[in-house]
Amino acid sequence: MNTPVTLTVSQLNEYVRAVLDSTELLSDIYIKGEISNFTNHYKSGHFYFTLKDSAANLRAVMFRSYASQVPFEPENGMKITAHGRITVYEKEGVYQLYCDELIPDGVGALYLAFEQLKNKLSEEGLFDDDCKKPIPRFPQRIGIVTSPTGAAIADLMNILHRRYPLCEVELYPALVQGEGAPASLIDGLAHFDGKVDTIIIGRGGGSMEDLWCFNDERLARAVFACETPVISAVGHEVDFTICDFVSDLRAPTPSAAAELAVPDMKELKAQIADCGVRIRHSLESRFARCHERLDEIASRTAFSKPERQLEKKCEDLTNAEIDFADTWKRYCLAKRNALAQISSRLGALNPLGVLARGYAAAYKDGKAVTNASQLQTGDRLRLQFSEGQAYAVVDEIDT
Amino acid sequence: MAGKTEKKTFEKSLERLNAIADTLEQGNATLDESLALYEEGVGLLKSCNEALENAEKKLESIKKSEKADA
Repeated sequence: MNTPVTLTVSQLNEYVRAVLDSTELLSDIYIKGEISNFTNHYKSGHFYFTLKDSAANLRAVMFRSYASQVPFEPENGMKITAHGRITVYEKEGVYQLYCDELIPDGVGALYLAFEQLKNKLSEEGLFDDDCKKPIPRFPQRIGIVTSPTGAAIADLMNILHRRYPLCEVELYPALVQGEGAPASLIDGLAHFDGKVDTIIIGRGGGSMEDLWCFNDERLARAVFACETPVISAVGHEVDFTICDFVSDLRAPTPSAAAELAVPDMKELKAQIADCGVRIRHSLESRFARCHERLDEIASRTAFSKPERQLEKKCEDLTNAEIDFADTWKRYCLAKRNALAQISSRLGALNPLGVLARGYAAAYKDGKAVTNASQLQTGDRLRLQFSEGQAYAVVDEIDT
Repeated sequence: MAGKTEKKTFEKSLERLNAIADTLEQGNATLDESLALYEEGVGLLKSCNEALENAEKKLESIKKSEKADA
């Protein structure tokens, strides 16, 4: 029979720890439970939480080096499977789980897979903006890959037809949830790729499991490989699937996809009418300017007062006449003066003028006597007076 | 002369009109030339006005048919 041992608290705790540490089962174990009292110690980076099920709790801690590897945010209420070892925190006399891995159960597991695939494809460059193709503004044909029943297709058809009836719309009826969905969706893409201007792929709202097929890796690669631009319209506004990331444009709802895929006919009509008005206005102002220019020219005196041309010619003529008259006058005057001058010279030379002053002209034998030495006494002279004449005989000569 | 102005565009006619006015206003042309230029100018003014009126009429009829369609 064993007598009870007496140990100190520290000794006991140490003992229990040793026992637990050496128990193989407890050194490498998975524990399923729900997270509660979760604390992420910001400074240290360690996770402290409690795992519980319907009947019991277990304290757990996850040190930073492991905690930083967890690719999701643990939350209270999350159901997980934790891996680690059970040991004793001697100081407080509690046993706890030292956790090195957290694996989400159910939805959590899905979420983890989603994050991992998202990172993988992102690193491969499938989400790069450079790879995204612009959505055609005026598509002639649109292919829709979605369920033939359900609100999504009804909304899409409705809005597409209302906004832009010019565009042909074809539906590829696909499975949008369940195991066969990814393959069905991929077939839909292949059916339309290269044959339409824009593809819309999506479905109405649902739970994460319902939408799960749109996170399929093969589908993502098929969307990436599409030559035709793809608009992804999956679920509600806040849901994001891998398909949303990899497509060329993401629409928050199927209705929004319709609005992004085609222009609004009303707006287009308004723009066209507006163009019409602008063209008319510019023509009208062009005409107005032509009128102005024409009026300007017509008002120039050459055209508005053409008689001025004749008036000028008349004036030229008149001036010429006056000039001519003047010149002629001066010419006559000059000639008259010349004549007068000669007249007076001639007048001055008139011998009869001399006689009028009392002189007589003496002629001997018909010749004029200019020198007394020409005479002899007894010569008979004829004396010409201004009026009349007389005969005289030379009496005496004085030289 | 009439054939010539028909072929000319509106803009060319305006240019020619300005040139004619310049020449006449300078007053160096002979009497005969002045008369001939004036006649040409009047003809051009007439054809330009007609061309402008025709264009406006056409615009009106297009507007009317557009209203009819709408």
